[in-house]
Amino acid sequence: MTGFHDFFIDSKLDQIHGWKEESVELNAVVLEASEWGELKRKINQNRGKADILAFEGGDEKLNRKAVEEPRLDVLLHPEKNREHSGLNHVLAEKAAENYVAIGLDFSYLYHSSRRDLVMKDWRKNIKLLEKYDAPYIITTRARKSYQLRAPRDLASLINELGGSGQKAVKQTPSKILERIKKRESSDFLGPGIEEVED
Amino acid sequence: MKHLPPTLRTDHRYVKISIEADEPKSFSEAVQIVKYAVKDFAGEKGLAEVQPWLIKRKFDESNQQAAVRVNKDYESLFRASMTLSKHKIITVNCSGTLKSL
Repeated sequence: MTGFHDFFIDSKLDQIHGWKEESVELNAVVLEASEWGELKRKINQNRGKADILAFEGGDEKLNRKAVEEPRLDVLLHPEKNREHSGLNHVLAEKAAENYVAIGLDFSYLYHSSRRDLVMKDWRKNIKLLEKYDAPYIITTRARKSYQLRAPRDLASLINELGGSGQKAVKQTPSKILERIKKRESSDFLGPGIEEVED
Repeated sequence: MKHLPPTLRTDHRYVKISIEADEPKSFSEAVQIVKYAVKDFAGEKGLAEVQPWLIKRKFDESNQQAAVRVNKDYESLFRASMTLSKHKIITVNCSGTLKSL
């Protein structure tokens, strides 16, 4: 599948097949934080250096803060270690408004002892995200070559859970790449602010 | 019994898969791996819908590649099952005819 990008795989993998190699050359930073102040500080520190900024979700309050922050690109697995899916209609709407993609982490699903529960959460989240037209992506987060999966297979998994596989593996990552290009252009002043010639 | 006309027959897709395991698998082991992968993900009903069928003459034991015939409408379900299989199975190619696989 041309144009497939997986941003969060280890760039030192010995074998990368199925997608363009340039996607792994992007500097993707995954942030971890236990409170909003810490996350804000980390965003300020890393936004200038990183091409893609993601946050490891799981905490209810921080999930909300993350989708309200347009400087973040991806909120990874908001359902992690939670009894519910980690998203609701408010968060989905905010994610669409600020274009913060919700990341579905395949490695989390694969290594989970209760795949049924993870897939239940994914199905619920995808339904909400589709309703509010919010972006979502799927990532393998592979650290070794055997953890890689073909893009069409990942797309099939999303299709089976009621979403759009094409959107998860191709359209949303392409839009994120467009945003990176925009951010790096000289006209860009801040999120939502751009210098326009008369 | 008279054969069904072509329009009423089940449509198939042929999917080439590659099994990446520590030890090479025989044909019968490959059949079990594929069937259990589908059954794990989709259950018995899903297995009946996908109808995976490994083609013996297309099984390459040295490269650990096999051609699987699946129901055309459930190709996506088959791919998703392979993704979540305990053994690493990659789908290499997919075609409507065995010849062009």
